[in-house]
Parts: sequence; structure tokens; C-alpha cells
Amino acid sequence: MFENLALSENGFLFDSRTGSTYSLNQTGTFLLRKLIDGELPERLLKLLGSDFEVAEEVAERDIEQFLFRLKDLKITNEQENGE
Amino acid sequence: MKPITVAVTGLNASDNPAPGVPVIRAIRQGADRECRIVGLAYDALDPGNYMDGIADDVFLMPYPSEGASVLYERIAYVHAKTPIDVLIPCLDAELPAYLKISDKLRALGIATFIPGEDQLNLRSKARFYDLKEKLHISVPKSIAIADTSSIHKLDEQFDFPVMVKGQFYDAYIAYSPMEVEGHFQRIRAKWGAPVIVQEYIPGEEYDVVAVGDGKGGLVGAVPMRKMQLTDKGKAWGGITIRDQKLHDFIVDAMSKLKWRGPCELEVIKSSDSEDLYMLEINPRFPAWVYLSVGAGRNLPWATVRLALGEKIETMPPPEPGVMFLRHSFDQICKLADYEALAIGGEHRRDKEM
Repeated sequence: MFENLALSENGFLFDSRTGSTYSLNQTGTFLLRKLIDGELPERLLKLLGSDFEVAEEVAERDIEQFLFRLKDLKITNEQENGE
Repeated sequence: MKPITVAVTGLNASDNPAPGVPVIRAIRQGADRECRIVGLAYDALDPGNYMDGIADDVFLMPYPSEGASVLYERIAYVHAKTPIDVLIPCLDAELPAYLKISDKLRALGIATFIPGEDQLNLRSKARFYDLKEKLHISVPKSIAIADTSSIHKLDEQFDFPVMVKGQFYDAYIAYSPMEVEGHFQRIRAKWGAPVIVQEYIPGEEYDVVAVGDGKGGLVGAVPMRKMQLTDKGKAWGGITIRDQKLHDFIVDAMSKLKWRGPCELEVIKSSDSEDLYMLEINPRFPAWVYLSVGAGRNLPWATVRLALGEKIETMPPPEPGVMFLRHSFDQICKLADYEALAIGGEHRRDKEM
């Protein structure tokens, strides 16, 4: 599903299908890495909470916004509809 | 292996460079045999004439507007001085003349690998919509208009905005028939009629350099996305991509066109539907063709081999993520070399040895 995405440890993301590149912050890199590794979006809240000190409601909102942003940029949406 | 001599045109290397210099760089890098390069230039001030390691010999050529017979005479002269095995034309405007003399060149022993007349005509902007109607290649709806009388009816045929394009160059977006008329007048004054009105497709544009075998097969293709542009919209940096849908689209188009030789394809992916549309087919290598070498798909050298009648295996799609950034530099030139070209029309490096 994410085979077109190359994400470095530093948060540099390359979408080989579109040629677009992005810079992700530490939590964005963490979340997308988990998705690329096969974690379900529903598990992200728990995973983020175990690695970062963050209030649950803040984390929930941030994850929701992050997933929306990925979809808006067609980073995830395109993957789902692409092939 | 027998040494060969390859002639390449288009040695201009300005901010809107011709493809000749990168084509030569690619050939030099790919050649598996001794290879002499003859540069065929239109201007003594073309920087490619003077670059070290590019052309061994340089000859000034008549402009395409002087006709095919004048072109043939000049090539026959060059061939007598330094026998040519393969000739690669790199400029759009040359192709019709080279096509006309390709049989005579073959008789001289000079091979080319260029598209046929039907293919050249089909890809012309004035007839571009025929690609959809005759070959079922997806292209934006377009019409060619020769005068202003049909402009007021455009809103019956198109949703606005539309693109207004010159038959050779220039493209503007127009939001109303009135704006179309303004662009029409400007483009007609510069490039002549007809002017093309084309459906506007919002989306992401991709460029592809490809070589077809002339029988419907794709020899190889390197797709890229432009990363930075000049003020003329030309690529000043780009990156290879991998998109199976785009690759299939190119394979299908080359198969239907039975394209022979190199081309640059401009394709847009609709942001609404993600459908692909062919925007332009340029019948020569693009100036960014050296990216194909960086991506491990040396298409200029493949073209030389195809012209020589050698068999080339189909190249798989390249790795994505190979980038190029263009730069310019100040080429120091010897006055004597400039004099040789400006006065004698030729500069042969072997005379220096």
C-alpha cells in the first residue's frame, strides 16, 4: 500500500509515484513509519502515547489532522485508489 | 569493434538549451567502441562548439528554412571531410528536412533513426486531437482556429478556462472568449495561424523521454517531474518517478503511434479524475535527456545503436528518485576557434594535433 513512499529516519519523504518530497517532523515521521510498517490507523494513538509524552486528547487531534493532511496531499488517498 | 562517427545537431546551450550537448555527453558515456563526434551547429556562438570533450569537429549548418537540398549538400560536404555513420537531429524544426533527405543520407552511408512523416504530422499541435479520434490516445479536446470568427462560439464547445497555444510555442490560459481573442492575436502575430484552443486540464504534469522502435515497441522511457522551472517553464531541475499507470500509458501510446526514434512526451494527470492526458509529443530528445543516463537508461546511445541496425533489449522502467539540477557556466573560447567557425564554417580539432 505504501510501496511508493521512501521515508528516511530524518523525516525526508519521497513519493516515487509523483516525484513529490516532504519534510516531516519527529511525530509525523513516527506516525507514517508505523503506517508504512503495517500498523492500522486505529493503533496510532496508543503507539504515540507510549513513545511521546502527550495528552491523549491532544494526540488524538494531532493524529486526526495528520491523517487528513496525508490524504489531502494524496499521499495515502492515492495509494488506496491507485492500483 | 569498428570505430564510428556520430553527428549531432543542436549545440546551443543558453538558458533554453538545445539537446545536442547532453545527447553527446550521453553517447560518449555509453559508447562501447571508439566514437568520433561531429557537431552540426547553426551559430558560431553556440557554446557547445567550444566545450572540451563534446564535439571533435564542428560544422556550421544552413538553417532549416533554406530547404532540404541545401541541407543535403552541406551534409554531403561534411561527410566528405569526416565520414558520418549516424546522424541524430535534435531540433523540432529540422525534422521535416531530415525526413526528406533520409533516403539520400542512407545512400551515402549515413543512418538516422527518426519518426516517419505520418507520425510527425499526427503530433503537430494543429492535428493533435486526431490522436484521440484516430488512435484513441487520451488527449485534451482541442481545435485549431485560423481567424477570430469562431472564437465567440467557443463557450458552446468548451468549459472555460481553456488553453490557447501557438503551433510551435507559447501557451496561455484564457478565462473567457474575449481573453482567447487577445491571446489569439498575440500568438498569430508571433507564430502564425492556426492557433490551438485546448481544454484546460488541472493537474500534475510529467515529462517523459522515450525511444520507440518504429514497430510499436518501447525501447525505453524515463519519466520525470520538473522540480524547478525557468521563466519559460523549462525544466531546470527534475526527478525520476515510477508510476505504473503512466508507464502503461506511454507503452500504449508508443504502440499506437509506432513511433520511431526519440521523443519527449508531456503528460498531465488530472487532479480531479487522475486520468492521464497527452499534452505534447516533441519529436526529439529533450534538453534534460542526460537524466536518462543518470537513471541507467542511456537512450541517446540506444538510438545510435538502433540507427546502426543493432538489436536493443527493452529497458525496464528506471529507478525513481534520480535527480538532476541544471547549471550554467562561462565557457572560455579561443578566438582562433571562433574565427574558424565564423569565417570558414568549420572547426576540426584533429587539425590541432
